[in-house]
Amino acid sequence: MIFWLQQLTNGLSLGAIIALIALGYTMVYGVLKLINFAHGDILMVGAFVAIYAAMRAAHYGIPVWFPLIMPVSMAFCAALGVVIEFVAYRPLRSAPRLASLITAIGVSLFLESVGQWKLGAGRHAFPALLSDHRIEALAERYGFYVYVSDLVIFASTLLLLVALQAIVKFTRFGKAMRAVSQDPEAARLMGVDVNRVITGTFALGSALAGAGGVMWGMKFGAADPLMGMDPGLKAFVAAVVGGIGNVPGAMVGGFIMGVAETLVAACSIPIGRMWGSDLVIVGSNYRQALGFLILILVLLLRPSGLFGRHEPEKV
Amino acid sequence: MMPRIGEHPGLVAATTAALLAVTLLCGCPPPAAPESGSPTVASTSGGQAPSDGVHASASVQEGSYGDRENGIPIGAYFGLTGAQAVFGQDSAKAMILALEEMEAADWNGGPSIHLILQDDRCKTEDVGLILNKLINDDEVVAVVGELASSLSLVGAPICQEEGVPMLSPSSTNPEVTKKGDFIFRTCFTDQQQGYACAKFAFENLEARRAAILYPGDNDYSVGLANDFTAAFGRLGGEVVLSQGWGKDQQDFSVELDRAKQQEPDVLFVPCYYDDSGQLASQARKRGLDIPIVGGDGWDSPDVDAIGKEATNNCFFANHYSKADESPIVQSFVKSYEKRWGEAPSAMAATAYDGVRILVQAIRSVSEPRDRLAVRDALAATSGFEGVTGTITIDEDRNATKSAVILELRDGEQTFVDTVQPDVP
Amino acid sequence: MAYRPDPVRVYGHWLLAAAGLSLAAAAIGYGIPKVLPTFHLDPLALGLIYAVIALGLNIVNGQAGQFSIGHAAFAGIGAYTAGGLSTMVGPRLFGWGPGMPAQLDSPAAAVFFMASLLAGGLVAALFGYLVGIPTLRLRGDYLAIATLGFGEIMRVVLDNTASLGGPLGMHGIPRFTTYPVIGVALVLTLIVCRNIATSVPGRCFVALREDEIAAESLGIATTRVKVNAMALSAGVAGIGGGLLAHRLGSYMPVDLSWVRSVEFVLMVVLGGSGSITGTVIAAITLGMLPGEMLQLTKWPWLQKLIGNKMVVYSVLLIVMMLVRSLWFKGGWELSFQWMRDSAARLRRRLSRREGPANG
Repeated sequence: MIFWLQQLTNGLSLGAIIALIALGYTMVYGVLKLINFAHGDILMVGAFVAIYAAMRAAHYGIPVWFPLIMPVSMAFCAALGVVIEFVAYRPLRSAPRLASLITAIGVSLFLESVGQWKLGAGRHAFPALLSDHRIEALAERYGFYVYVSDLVIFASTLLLLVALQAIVKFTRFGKAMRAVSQDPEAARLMGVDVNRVITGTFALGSALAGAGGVMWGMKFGAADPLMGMDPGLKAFVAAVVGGIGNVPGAMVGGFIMGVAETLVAACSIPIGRMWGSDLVIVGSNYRQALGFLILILVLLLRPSGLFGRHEPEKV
Repeated sequence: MMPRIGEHPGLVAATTAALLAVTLLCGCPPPAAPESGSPTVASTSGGQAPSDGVHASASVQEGSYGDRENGIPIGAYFGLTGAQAVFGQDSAKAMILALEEMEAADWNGGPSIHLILQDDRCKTEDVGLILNKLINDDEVVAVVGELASSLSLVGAPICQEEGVPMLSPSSTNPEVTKKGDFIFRTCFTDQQQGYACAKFAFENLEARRAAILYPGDNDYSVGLANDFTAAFGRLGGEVVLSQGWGKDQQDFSVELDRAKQQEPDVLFVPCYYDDSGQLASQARKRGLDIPIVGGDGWDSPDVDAIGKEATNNCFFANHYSKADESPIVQSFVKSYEKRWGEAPSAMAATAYDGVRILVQAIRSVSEPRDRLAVRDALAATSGFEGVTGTITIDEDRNATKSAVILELRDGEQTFVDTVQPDVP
Repeated sequence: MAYRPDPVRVYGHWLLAAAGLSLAAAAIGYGIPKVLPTFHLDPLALGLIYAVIALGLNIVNGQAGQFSIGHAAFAGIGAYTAGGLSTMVGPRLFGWGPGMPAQLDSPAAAVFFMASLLAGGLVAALFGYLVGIPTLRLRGDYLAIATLGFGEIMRVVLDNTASLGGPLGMHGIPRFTTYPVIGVALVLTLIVCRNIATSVPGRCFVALREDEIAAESLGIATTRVKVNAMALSAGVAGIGGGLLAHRLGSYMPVDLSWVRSVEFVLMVVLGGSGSITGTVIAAITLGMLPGEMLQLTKWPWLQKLIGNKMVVYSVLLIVMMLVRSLWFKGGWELSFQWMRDSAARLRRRLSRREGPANG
């Protein structure tokens, strides 16, 4: 019982970070209808900026604190997102979508290769931004391990999600975002500066990716130039599962992905033999495959994702 | 009226780009070798400064090294970019170091060497292209590569067919050398290593129940896990769990919890050094304080940086020990650190020996460009004093050498035991 | 009186077509190796095989407009099937020893090879069909994700199937794919693609791409057509995969991942979605690029200038898309019509220049 509760906690912790990254994907898609392949790599940049910032802070005697380092990463990634949008995506606004997709792939490759070139291909230690305490009472009594860092990650993710929802629902900028995602032409006619909105959305989404990168680094203790691929893919799937373009959907999608993958990996249920010798099981070996299987099942039942709007095509 | 920022997106982007550039320049660390394990600023209740920062290590590109004009051409194919680039980079760095040392010693009176290093991006199709170029275009005498057994298995039939000796410094799958008599390896096989680890766990750690966790998408780990299982069973132990994890996975909490459920005496984790630090730290966090045993893939300067105290009570099999007092090992470690600004890993050590064994074979032959003669010389290698031990090539073209077991204690590798190869 | 086609004209055309295509296949298969310097042959072979796979993807991506990022998996299925037949059934039938013959030394072996390629294509097409049925209800990016998921699932399954080699992959596949084989395969694929493009099903695909609702209102069973497109496309990719496996001698589960699929999508998009000529050119160019860049070791100064080749590659990609309007003409095909039109245009321009003198 405790085992499953533990796995649930693991899953929620992972799901929180995935949800954060999925938010960035979904926001950019909602406004630009573009799958930003480079999102996972912005996460990587965020993690490395945190490492540098921590090093510099240590050098100058500033305490290396989570609330201090994270905004630095977020700001840098927001700036990076703006630059990428301006250089690579803006010129292709009127182009067919596949062209922007290719450019997104190019940007992703660029960030990864520069990372490997300049930072070396190995894993770098991520500084401990939070104390490593666990909740001893639970640990001793039940063998149930919950860490302060996990709680902080979960709490900050929720905070950021709430903040984002607030921005989208209650500010003028949020209204402009929603307008642009619904119909850019009409929004322009209504006096919304579409360019500014897109730039702002990119900045916001990239900042969230940066935050996700810092948290990923904190949770797993390491960063490397290719670290963005796995969380990026999971987050993309999560955003689609939740209905791409839908902010609460991305949140739910992220948690579903995290929990489902963890719970499924915790099983070890044999379901048959292949070719007479290989045991096929529901379990950790097939972990990634099962995540995608869940995705396909969800899409079969709800083709536009869980919360996606079924947009009827006008003829 | 103040111009609205939104109206000048170009200006905004340009300013942000400039700011980014400035921050990047300020943030770049000086390329000095970090002292491993040296603590810096005292921490407050919040966080702790990294004791070892990001050292922007130079990365090796493909190209020509050594004596370009008159050198005997040898080829090397590694993955210098791509998913497993870190291993290719380490091996390439060690080879270049070896070459530079030989060049500084004026090639020890023998023929000079021209190394052509190619990057196969860890992709199957690039292997064939590279070998075709190296063999037919550059007319190399011999080839060093690859590191991953799967890619070696792609390259071995090609080299065998073309009659070019191929030397793999770190492919451990037994099938590689079975491809033909031109294929050599200068490291131990999975079977030897699995046996060494199993013997150590059974006898020294007195473990009877072992749980195995490994990356399931990686042939080295899968092979080693299988061989450990076989050897451990033969010795009388029981493998209570054998669990693979997925590609690029960094969260091992589920696998570790499942292992904990089985109450093992020892955890065997034949992964590479990029995962081992995180795995050890996550294992300790989840309450698994049992010894963890790994394979030679664990050797790297950074395992303890990522894992910190979690890596205490961890052991791994290796080809050599950095703490070994012998002059060869010490001089290699020091020169590598001086040249590349980081301590060498297992891949570096094996590649260093591999290339030197090859050069020795080339030098011992009267006609150095004769591939067959070089092959015969390689097959006759005996008692080569390398960093990774005394290496003799046996009749199966594998290296007979013993494994050492090292323990990680407070970030230092300490030598524990030597295990002779004794596979039935 | 009913119109009776003149047999000479009809059969004459067929014979001419057959002769021309055989000539083309022979030109590729025997001419290229003679004409091209040896160090370009290997990269070009790879590029031509990629062209086959990319043409397969083009059917569903370019012509039918359905976005699929899973074609490396279909190619992989074809590769594993064909490779499996060659490594497991072949030796028993033909007595191939450990030193497998690199040539197809008997007609029986050639027939076996063709059969295994076709088998690979069929199994891949079957998977394409099975994947298509549930997923082709999805639109656009959802379909992309579903196909990506399928690719990853196949990769994980193969990683965990020890009898097919597991993560080590399948090795020891006899290297049958020589230039003549590639020539024949490519020409056949081009014929199939061209015919599809100009046939009724092909035009259904295009109608589907242009406007799905209009197509449906005209009586095209869109879901069925989409599934057929996916199955056909997967089949062609599967044959390409079989060719690739027999060229490299090995195939690994990692070659089924979505990263490889994206490379094929790149080829189709860069070539101009839907354009057969464009796809082939893009596939050959992108396929030859890594092989050609290996030659850089001969010019160290150029290498220093370029630095890291992956960085340059990615920048090139971005720049190419930014300036694509300068060179990319979607839908343009190399065809006899185009050649005739160009000739006519040229003639007109030349005669205009001499015009005033002639009055």
